Amino acid sequence: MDRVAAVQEIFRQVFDKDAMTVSPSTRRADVSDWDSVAHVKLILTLEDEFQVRFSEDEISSVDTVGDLLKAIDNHVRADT
Amino acid sequence: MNCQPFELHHIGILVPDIAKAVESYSSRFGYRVNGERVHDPVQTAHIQLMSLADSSPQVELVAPDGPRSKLANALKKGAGLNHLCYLTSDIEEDCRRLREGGMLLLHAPVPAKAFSNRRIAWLMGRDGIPVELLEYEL
Repeated sequence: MDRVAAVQEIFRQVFDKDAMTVSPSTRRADVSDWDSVAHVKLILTLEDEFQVRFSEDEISSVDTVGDLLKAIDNHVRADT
Repeated sequence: MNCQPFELHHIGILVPDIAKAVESYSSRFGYRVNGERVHDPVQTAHIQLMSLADSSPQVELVAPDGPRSKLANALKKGAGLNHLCYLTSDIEEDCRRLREGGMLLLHAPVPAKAFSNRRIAWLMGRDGIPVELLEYEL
């Protein structure tokens, strides 16, 4: 499973929507349930899935799914 | 992680209608209202504290103040246990320590109208239960 698909699967889990689709351009504002609690659940689940720890700045500056993918990439690359 | 034990101040219960919930908690369990019902524009919620005759932790009934409330999404998923609130004597230090322990900050310290502008902060860990920290009364 590629990284976008893996992130989409996590969105489906967190938002409890089996058919949910996201792309790098999906914005927080596009997902009505993406509030602060859902954001923290997303971040914690992504951290567990990809074995990374996001910084405060990364967590607070996320506006799109692409921002999350970029942050994951940065950490995964830094660890390899 | 060892730390000084926190003191549980209240249990937050999300309800759609404060008046009905007050009646229910009074008649079922003997809770009495504690202070006035408050509208907190920062939390976008109506809030009513209730307590038992003993020194048990209070319950805080919280209801969204409208469809745009921060609590509206949570209520769509169902009413019920919403958060646990612990007292703190150093809110910044406890936020820092809990973040180091794996919790994430939902909301940095901010004055809370329901508590005479004592500051509250919000965090959440992997158990998914939001935790509120409330400064002790001076």
